Amino acid sequence: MGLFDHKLRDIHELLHNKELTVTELVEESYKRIEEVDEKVGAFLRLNKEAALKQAAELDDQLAKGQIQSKEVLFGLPVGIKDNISTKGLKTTCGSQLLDNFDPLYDATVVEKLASANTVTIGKLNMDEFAMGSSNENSSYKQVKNPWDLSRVPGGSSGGSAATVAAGEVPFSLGSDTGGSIRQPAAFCGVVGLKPTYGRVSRYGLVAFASSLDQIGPITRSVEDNAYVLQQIAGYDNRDSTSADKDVPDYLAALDGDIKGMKIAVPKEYLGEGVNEDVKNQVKQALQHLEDLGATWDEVSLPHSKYALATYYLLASSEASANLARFDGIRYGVRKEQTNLIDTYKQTRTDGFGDEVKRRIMLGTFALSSGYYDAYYKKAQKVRTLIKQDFEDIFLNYDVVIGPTTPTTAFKLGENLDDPLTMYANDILTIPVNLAGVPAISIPCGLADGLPVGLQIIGKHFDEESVYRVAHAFEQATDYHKQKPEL
Amino acid sequence: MTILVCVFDETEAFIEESVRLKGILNKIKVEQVLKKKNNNILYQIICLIACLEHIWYDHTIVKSGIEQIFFQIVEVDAVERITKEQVRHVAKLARLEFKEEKIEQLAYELDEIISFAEQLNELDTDNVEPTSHVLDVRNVLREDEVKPSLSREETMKNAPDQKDGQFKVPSVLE
Repeated sequence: MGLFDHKLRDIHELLHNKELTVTELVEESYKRIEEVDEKVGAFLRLNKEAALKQAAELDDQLAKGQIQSKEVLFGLPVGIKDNISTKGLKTTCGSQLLDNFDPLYDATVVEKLASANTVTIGKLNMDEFAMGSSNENSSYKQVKNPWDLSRVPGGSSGGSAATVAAGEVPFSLGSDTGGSIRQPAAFCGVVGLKPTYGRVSRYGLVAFASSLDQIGPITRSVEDNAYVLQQIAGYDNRDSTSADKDVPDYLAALDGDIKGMKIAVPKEYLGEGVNEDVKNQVKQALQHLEDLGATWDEVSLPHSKYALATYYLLASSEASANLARFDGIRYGVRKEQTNLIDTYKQTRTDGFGDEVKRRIMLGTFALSSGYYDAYYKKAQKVRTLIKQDFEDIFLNYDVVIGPTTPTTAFKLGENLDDPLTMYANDILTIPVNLAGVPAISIPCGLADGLPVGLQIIGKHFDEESVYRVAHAFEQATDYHKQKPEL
Repeated sequence: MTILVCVFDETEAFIEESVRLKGILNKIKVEQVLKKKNNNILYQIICLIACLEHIWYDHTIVKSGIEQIFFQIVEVDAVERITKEQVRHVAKLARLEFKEEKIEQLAYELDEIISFAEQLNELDTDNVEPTSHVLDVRNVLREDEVKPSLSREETMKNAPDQKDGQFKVPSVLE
């Protein structure tokens, strides 16, 4: 059992009781990365020198009694997705265009982790600008699934999920626009939460689709996840879409008691296109929850089938606007031509990969004169219907449960040539982003040796119920203890 | 461009399904899609033809999938919804450049995605308000106060080219 297979609380206890130093923890992380990351490909770059220096300083300050190690996250190594700004540590979003980009400031989540004295180990691989479901769109290298190196880890936070599954770090941060935390968490057999839109500040997160993006934690257990969210959640006046609401005590929700809780199971989430083995694991999970005293009913989210089309129109439209800033003038890899327009064009044409260009083109088309009402505005209206579906269900139910993905991890290269098939992978996660509600993916067993993810969706700002159910399930099962052999 | 088209011939037209299928795959001009026992079978056939790639079509594969449906094959001109000209125009707006063969591929891919997206037209949204943002947040205001911010030197740190503390760019005018 690796050190990072332990819960954050247990690792912290070793540290707090002086059985372990921060330096040892950080060295352990780099040692594991050296052992397995050539195979996994989770990290784009390491922060080794600075991390070891910080660790030595923390150990020194602890020894002198200048700081306390009371907080659970104190001194813990963390991996950060490469679209989250880290001052002085290059942030490329997996893109050649930002190959040389050195952020001038830390994202709010990075600041918040720093205030708990976590140690940033390095930046994690991802699909370019978070566009993708397999990590095959990284312009640097492929992340591989630790459970089967011939398979994808999921995406776009593929590095963030794979690194935790591979035991390189005890936790990581990812971002989720249409399933980019939950889908890779499901494929890699770890716990990934997309918080309610507005729960976590997006300041310093390179925007993909601003009305959908959220940062969230990827961990080995639900409890670990709650510790990380507790640290990064909350209002931030630098993100005008962050919610000015109190952050509850998430750990208090982990009492294992789900008696009388009402679960809605949308028939659309267990319908055609969802693999039978995946369905069976989810049905078994529902049985476990029933044994724990919850009840469940089949319900309908009638507009689910329109979510995919709605999402690709809205997310691509927002992306085409957000990515307009990458023109090689103030930062990025400029491809200088004799005039300004050609410089923009060459910079963007050379700097962006195929999938990013495809989505910029789709979004630009959907927003262009004559098509705006037919596509963009229409999709915004359908978004309202999808959101209402959830609001209706949540009048009578505490959580919505289904699979996170229609299948387990697919083979590398399998879906590359067909954008629509690749997009269909997110069909169960996308409605959650459109509605802005929180959802977690937790391991619920294996199918043919590959992890299956159980998705638990909650009301706006009710991460507590999501965690409560997820934790109760985890306590009653051993699925989260299953680990890949590397 | 000419493609092969499946025309399903029976008595009662199943307009709704026809519209949906047209939306999904405009490359296949569904002249008349007819009601039959299992809608899904029809859906699969159409998708199958699409998978066989824009033009090619195998009689035996299609035939094996549709025991209950009469069909005949005709040749018609495909409806091109997104033209190469449009792709060039959008590329110009997006400040991107593509080679000629890539433009053709993009026309096809965008066409496919847009056709897929047209399923939204099944929904009547006349009285539905658009959602641009899930939380009920309106304009967020703050006092206009001077606060510490990045220095000029810092902001120039990532500049590809600079002169006298300013970003240097190639000529704007010819």
